[in-house]
Amino acid sequence: MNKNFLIQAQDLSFERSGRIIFSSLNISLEEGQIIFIKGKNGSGKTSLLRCLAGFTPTTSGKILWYGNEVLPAFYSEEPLVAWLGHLDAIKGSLTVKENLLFFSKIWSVKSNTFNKCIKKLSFEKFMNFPASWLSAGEKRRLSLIRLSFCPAKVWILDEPSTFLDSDNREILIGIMNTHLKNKGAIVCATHDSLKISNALELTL
Amino acid sequence: MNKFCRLILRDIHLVIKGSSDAAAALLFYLLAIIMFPLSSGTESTLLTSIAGGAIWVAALFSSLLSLDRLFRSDFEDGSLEQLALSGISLETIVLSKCFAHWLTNGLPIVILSPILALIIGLDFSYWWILCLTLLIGTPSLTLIGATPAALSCAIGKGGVLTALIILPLMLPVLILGSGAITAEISGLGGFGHIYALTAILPLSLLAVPFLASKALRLGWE
Amino acid sequence: MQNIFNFLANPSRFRLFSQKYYSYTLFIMFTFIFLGLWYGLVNSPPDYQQGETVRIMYVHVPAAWMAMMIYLSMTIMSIFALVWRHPLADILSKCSAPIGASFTLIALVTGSIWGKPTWGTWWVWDARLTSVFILFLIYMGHITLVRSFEDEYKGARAGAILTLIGAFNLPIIKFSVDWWNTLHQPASVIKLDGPTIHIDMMIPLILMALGFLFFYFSFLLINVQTELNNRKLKKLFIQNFSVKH
Repeated sequence: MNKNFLIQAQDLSFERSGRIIFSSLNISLEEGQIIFIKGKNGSGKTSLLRCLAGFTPTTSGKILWYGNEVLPAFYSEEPLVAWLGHLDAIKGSLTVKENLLFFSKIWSVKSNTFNKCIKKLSFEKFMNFPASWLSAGEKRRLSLIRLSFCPAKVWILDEPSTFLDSDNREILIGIMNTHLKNKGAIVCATHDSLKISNALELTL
Repeated sequence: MNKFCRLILRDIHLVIKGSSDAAAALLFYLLAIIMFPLSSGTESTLLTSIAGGAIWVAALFSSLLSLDRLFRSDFEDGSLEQLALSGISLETIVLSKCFAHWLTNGLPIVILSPILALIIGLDFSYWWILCLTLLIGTPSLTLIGATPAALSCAIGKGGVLTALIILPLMLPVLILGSGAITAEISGLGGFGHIYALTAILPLSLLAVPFLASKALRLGWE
Repeated sequence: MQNIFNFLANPSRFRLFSQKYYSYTLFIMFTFIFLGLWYGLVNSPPDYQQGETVRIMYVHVPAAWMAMMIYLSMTIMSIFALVWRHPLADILSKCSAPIGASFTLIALVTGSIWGKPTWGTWWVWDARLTSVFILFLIYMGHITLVRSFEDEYKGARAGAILTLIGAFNLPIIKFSVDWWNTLHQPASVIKLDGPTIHIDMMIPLILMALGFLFFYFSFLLINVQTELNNRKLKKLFIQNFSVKH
C-alpha cells in the first residue's frame, strides 16, 4: 500500500435495494489534492461520500485511510475526517458560541485557531445569540466555521455551497485552498463550479 | 476533561436550555401518580398496598416517554454524525447519552420518590427501600430502552412503536423493583429482589452499547 | 456442514432449493400431524384426574415448545446476520417471527381453554402463562418494527438487532416472572409435565411436536420464498422502469 495516500478507495461498488448506485470506483487522494464529484441528482454522490466517511458500508471494495482499513466513523482516535453534509448539526437552543466551543473542545482546537476562523467568516457579532435565530445561510456559515477549524486531514463535503451568496462562496474557496495548502485533502460533491486549481474530477 | 464528560455535560446543558422533554417527563411522573388514588379510591389500606407498584409504574412510563428522544434530536440534526467522526467510538457516545439521560430523568425520579411515597400513603419507614430500588432500577430502564430508541431513529418515527418494543423488555425491572417493596412490607425482606435487580445492570451495560450503536449505524445506511 | 451452509447462502440458490423441497416438508408435516391427532384424540387414554380435557395438551404443549424453539432459532440466525453479515440469516429470522407469534398465540388460547375446566377460570396469573404472554408481546413488537421499515433490507437487520435484545431479556423475564409468581401466588396449579407422563400420552405429544416442527420448516420456506420473490420483483421493477444513470 502506498502510505502517501491519505484516502484510497479500491473497486468500490454500492447497491441499494437491488439498485446499483455505483460500481468499480477507484479514488485515491494525496496530500494537497482535491477531487470534485459531479453528477445529476440521484446519481449517488451523497451515497459515495457517506461510504467514504464510513457511515454506510459498501457492497464490495475497500477503503483505506492512511493505508489502514479502519473507517473513520468507527474507531478513530482523533478526527480523521471532517464531514459537511446536508444537516447542520446545530442546536438551536444553544448560542452560536456554545455550539462552536463544544466541537472545538472535543477536537482539542487551539483557541487561537478558533478565533481566527470566526474572524474569517465575520461571525463575531453573532456569537452570543441563540443559533435558532440564524437564517439558513448564516447556519451554513456556522457549519463552515466548524469545518475550518476541524483538525482532520481529509474533508468530505456534500454540496458545501448551498445557501451561500457569491461573497461567501469566495470565502469557502479560500478555506478550501488553505486546507489544501496545509497538506489536507478534500472530496467534494457539488453542482456549482468552485474554482480551485489542479482539481481532479469524477463524474458519476 | 475527557470527551466522555464533555458529551454528558453537553446533554445536560441541552436539557437545562429546555430543548428536550426531560422536564415534561418528570411532570408526567407526578401526574401519573395522581391517577392511582383517583382511579382506585383513597382508602388508605388499598393505597398502601399498591403504593410501591404505582410509583414504579409511573417511573417506568416517565422514562419511556423521555427515552423516545434519547438519540432522536442528535440523529435528526446531524450532530450524531459529527460526534461519530470526532474520535469517539459510537459505543462511548451511546453510553454517555444513557448516562446523561439517567442524570436528567432517573436521578430526579429517585429524588422525588420519597415525597410521592408520602402522598400516596406508603408507610414512611419504607421510603428507603423505594429509593434504593429506584436508584438501582432506573439505570437499567435507561439502558434497556436505548436500543429500541436507536431503532426508532432508523425508522424515522417513534412514539407508540418505541413504547411497544420497550415495555415488554422493561417488565423484569418493574417486577423486581416493585416486588422488593412488597416483599419488604410483607416482612419477607426485599433484598433477594434487590440483588436480582442489581444483576440486570451489568448485563445490560455489556450488551446495550454494542446493539444500540449497531442500530444507529443502521439508521445511517 | 460448511458446504451446505455456503451453498444456501446464495439467495437465488436458496429460492430454488425451497421451491423444490417445501412440498416434501409439507407432506411430512401433514403425516405427523395426522398421526399425532389420531393417536392423541382416539388412541390415548383419558387422564384419571382431568378426563377427556387433557387431550388439548397435544396441541398446547407442542405449540408452547415451538414458541420458544422458534425464538431460539431466530436468535442464532440474528447472530449470524449481525456478526458475519450472512445474506440470508436476517431474512430467515424475519420470516420466522410470524410463525413463532402464531404458535405463541395458539399456546395462549389453548392454555386458556384448558384452564377453564381445570382451574375454573379462563385466565390465571400463572408464571408460565404470564411469560408466554410476554413472549407473544415481544413477537408482535418484532413484527411491527420490521414492517414499519420501508426498505426491507433495513427492516430485516433491525429485526435481527431487536431479536438479540429480546434474547438477552427473555431469561431475565422468565426468571423475574417466576419469582413474582411465587410471591403473589403460592404454587397451587397442577403440573402436568415431567417424566411422570404416561408413554401413551408421550407418543402423540412427540408426534405432534414433530408435526409442528415441520410446519415451521414448510412455512419458513414459503415465507422466505415470498420475501425473496418480492425483493427480486422490486429489483426488476427498478431495472426496467425507473430512470437509469
